[in-house]
Amino acid sequence: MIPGKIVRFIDRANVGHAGTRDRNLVPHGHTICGWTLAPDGHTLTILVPEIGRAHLIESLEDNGQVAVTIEQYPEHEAYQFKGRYLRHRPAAAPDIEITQRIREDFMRSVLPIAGEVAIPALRAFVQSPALAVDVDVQEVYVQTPGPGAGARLVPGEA
Amino acid sequence: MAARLPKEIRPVLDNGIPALMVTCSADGVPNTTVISQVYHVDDTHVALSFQFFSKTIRNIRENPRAHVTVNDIPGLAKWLLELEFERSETAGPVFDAMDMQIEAIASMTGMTGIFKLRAADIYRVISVEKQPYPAHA
Repeated sequence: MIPGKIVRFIDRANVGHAGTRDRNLVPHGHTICGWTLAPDGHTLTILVPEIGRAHLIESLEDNGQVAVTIEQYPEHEAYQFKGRYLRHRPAAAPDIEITQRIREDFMRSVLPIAGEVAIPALRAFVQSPALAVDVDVQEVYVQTPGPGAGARLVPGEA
Repeated sequence: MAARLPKEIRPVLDNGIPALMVTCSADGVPNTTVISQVYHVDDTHVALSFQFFSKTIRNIRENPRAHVTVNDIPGLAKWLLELEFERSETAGPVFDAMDMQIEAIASMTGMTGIFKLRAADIYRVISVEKQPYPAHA
């Protein structure tokens, strides 16, 4: 079960990225544009735009291994979620709403630095989802930059 | 076999926008992380900073393959790099230049004293691909 602190973080984070690997242990990176945690407290749904699909489903169906880093910009608070692929489906209207909320939050965070001239580029940076992928989260790690990075939060370290 | 980095990627590598890196352990578990710097070494090599004894570093010593996504937000594109680790340098011109850039990035992002370069890890570029953002996000 993911602790409440991390559940609340998932709701306010605004940047994410996923990683898989193929049968030859070659890693692949995937842009993601949204995420949400199911009420069961351990199923993380990641939303993947068309641009992030290369190698994704082939890798997941081959070995099921997936890692997801989610970050809150500009604070740089970040966590990595590792788990197993469960299923995927085409993105639906509620997924698009999640991405829209993340896009607006990201733009609010970056605009003071980038300026209003960057609005079209920032809007395009968080793309609309094509796929929703469910992941059974088994481990959570701190990834906020600094000496504490890498500490495992879930399951708790003995 | 190495791919050549196109000239147009040079300013993207210097844009200060964090990049995303994926590695994989010998037992097949992927790992994702945010990296602050991708340094252009020559037309077929880049260097990544080794700052902490992280899972990324352990993975690379077990399995040398890496995937890095570099964001060109103003240019409306991402660059995808497939890399293979070659060697680690703890002195010399690449290390010194990266160390100076890390200090600057740390200062700009409020991370002074947290970022410290231990080594410049040199990677061969296996492939490089530019992915423009779709016209309608």
